[in-house]
Amino acid sequence: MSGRPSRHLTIVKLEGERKQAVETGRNRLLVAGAVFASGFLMIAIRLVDVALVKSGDEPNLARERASEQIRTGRADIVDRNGVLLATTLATASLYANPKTVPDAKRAARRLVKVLPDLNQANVLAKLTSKRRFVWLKRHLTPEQQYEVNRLGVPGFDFQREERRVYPLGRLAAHILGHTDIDNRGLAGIERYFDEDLRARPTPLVLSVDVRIQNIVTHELRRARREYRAAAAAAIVLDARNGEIVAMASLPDFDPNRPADIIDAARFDRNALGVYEMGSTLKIFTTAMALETGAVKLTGGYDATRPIRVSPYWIRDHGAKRRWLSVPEIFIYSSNIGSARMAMAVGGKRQRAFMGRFGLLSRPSIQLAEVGAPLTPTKWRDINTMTIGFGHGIAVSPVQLVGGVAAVVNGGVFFPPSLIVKPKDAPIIGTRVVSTATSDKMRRLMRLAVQRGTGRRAAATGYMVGGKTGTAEKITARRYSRKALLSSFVGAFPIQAPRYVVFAMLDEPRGTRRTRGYATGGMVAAPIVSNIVSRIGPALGIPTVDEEARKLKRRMAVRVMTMRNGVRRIASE
Amino acid sequence: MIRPSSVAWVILAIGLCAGLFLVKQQVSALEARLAQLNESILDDQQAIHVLRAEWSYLNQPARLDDLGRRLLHLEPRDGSGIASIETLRRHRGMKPTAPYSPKPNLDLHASPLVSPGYARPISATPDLDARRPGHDGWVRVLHTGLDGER
Repeated sequence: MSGRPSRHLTIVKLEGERKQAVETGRNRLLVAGAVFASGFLMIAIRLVDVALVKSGDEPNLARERASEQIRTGRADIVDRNGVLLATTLATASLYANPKTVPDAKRAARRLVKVLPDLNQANVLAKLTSKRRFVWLKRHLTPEQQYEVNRLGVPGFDFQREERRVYPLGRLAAHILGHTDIDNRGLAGIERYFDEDLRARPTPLVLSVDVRIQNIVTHELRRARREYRAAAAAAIVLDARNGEIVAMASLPDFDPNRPADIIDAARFDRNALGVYEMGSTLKIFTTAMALETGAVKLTGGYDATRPIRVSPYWIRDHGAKRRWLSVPEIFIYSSNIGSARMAMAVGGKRQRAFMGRFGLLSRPSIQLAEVGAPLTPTKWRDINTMTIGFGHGIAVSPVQLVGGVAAVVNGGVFFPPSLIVKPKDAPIIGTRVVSTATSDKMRRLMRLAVQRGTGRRAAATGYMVGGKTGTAEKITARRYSRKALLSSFVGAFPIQAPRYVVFAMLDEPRGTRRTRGYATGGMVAAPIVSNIVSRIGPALGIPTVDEEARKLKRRMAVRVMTMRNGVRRIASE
Repeated sequence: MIRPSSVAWVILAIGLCAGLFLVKQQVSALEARLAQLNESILDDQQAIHVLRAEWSYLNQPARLDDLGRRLLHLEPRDGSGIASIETLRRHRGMKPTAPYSPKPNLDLHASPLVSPGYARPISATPDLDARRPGHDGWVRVLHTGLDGER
């Protein structure tokens, strides 16, 4: 290995076989060298690729690990302000392998001691069965789990499970619905969005505001107790986009205990129940007559005598027995006048008009169980007349509120919704009446609260406008004077409506305070008044001076009347 | 015979081996710690999840309502306690129904308050004008602001 090269070059020449062998050796060496070289070259290229080209910076292994989130089997549901309405919590469920429980009798006795709601005989039967797996109790509290662990019974074990929890209890129960023990949605939003809730990583945001929901439920509960009503319902809806801010139905239930729900409580009066609403539908009749030009605000109809449409009579309660102008028909809630108004428009146009407000088809609200309206199969004159004052057609409160919102908000219909629309998405509505008609209707609804049947709905500073409704319910195939459905639907502030408020009592009974009356104006209008005076400040609606001259002028209506057989202006 | 360069290479190789070993040890220790931290993060998230549910449960509006009524003697307010500047402007001629004397307050920078009754603007600062003869003792902080606007 050392020393200089020799001066004497010795040239060795190989011939024949030997030369061949050396050549072969050299070739082999060359091939092997080339293979190894290309191999090392590939490794080198790959190294450069991995180390410098592909991920030049630090590997983000740490970040990936840290981004692990707890995932539950079902997404949370929150209200519009992010208050938790429904969530999924991990719980432990107790099971046993009867083969490995040494002393079943003793185990059963000791288990029942710490879990008193279990039946000892039942547990014993399970523990002596031939199976290898029996559920003893699902969804234990941490305390119960600790107690069972302390027993130290071999063969008992826990399965980690998830349980749907509704922290607000009964509040908004009909909207949320509930799930079964395996967290499958059975009703309400839980059912409608069942698939979505299983898949989505983020909470589902509802349009409901729990503060408003609480006020509405509280006022409704109070009124239901006072008037001993069989059931009650109320809705607050944003008039500008159809979002439902609060929706309560009584009796209600606790979604945390789905097994205890009775059918009367499960029934959602707002979306599933359809009712002959009565006079609140006169809002649509009047809007229709004004929109089609069948009558002007200064015009009117004769309401001297009841109309006979065999075998029925259409009468007025507290009849004036004279010609009534349109504002008078509206504020005194005249059935005769409204029936004539509807006839002046005609059945065909009435049907088309009602359809535009979504009153003739099942509403598209995001709930599992939604009631379809009951409409006449054949739209005869008698139907036109009765529908004119709200009978012969049954709609759900959600439909009514959606329609009224369109009447007062300038004439644009938005389907009632329980989901907040994304901020950047355009709010799409359909124009159903002109802004001029909407303006006239707002004035009439204000007048009904100022001077008509809806006086008790007034809330100082908030300019309530609306319409009362008192319908006789059908009991034993005929209308009953005793069983009433009393309601009020209004909007505030009526000069530029922000919210539509609806309240309804099913079979209320009059009290001494209402002098025995249980009509919409007596029992339902005060609920709306209470709700508005409490949610107004919560929603940040500025109060106005209701007596201000400017405002009065803006909401003024020329009311014609008839005195001594002469039509004259009663007030402006 | 061993060349110095060879010695250098061998030392380098041994050094690299040792370094690599140490780094690897450190990495695996850090990884174990990372896993541990991740686990505790998940535990904390789980706890936060439960606490959020409890927070919501304890903040049931009906419960807060009841607590406010019983312990703080608060009543839900209605619209009559709220007034706009416009309303105040029209009622500014009105005299207060009950005499009101603000307590002296050392904090001169406190902002003026508007009390629930709309014709009763009050101030947390003692008004020097109040001592002037002919003044009814009524602090007109808010009115002064409105007068400036006119």
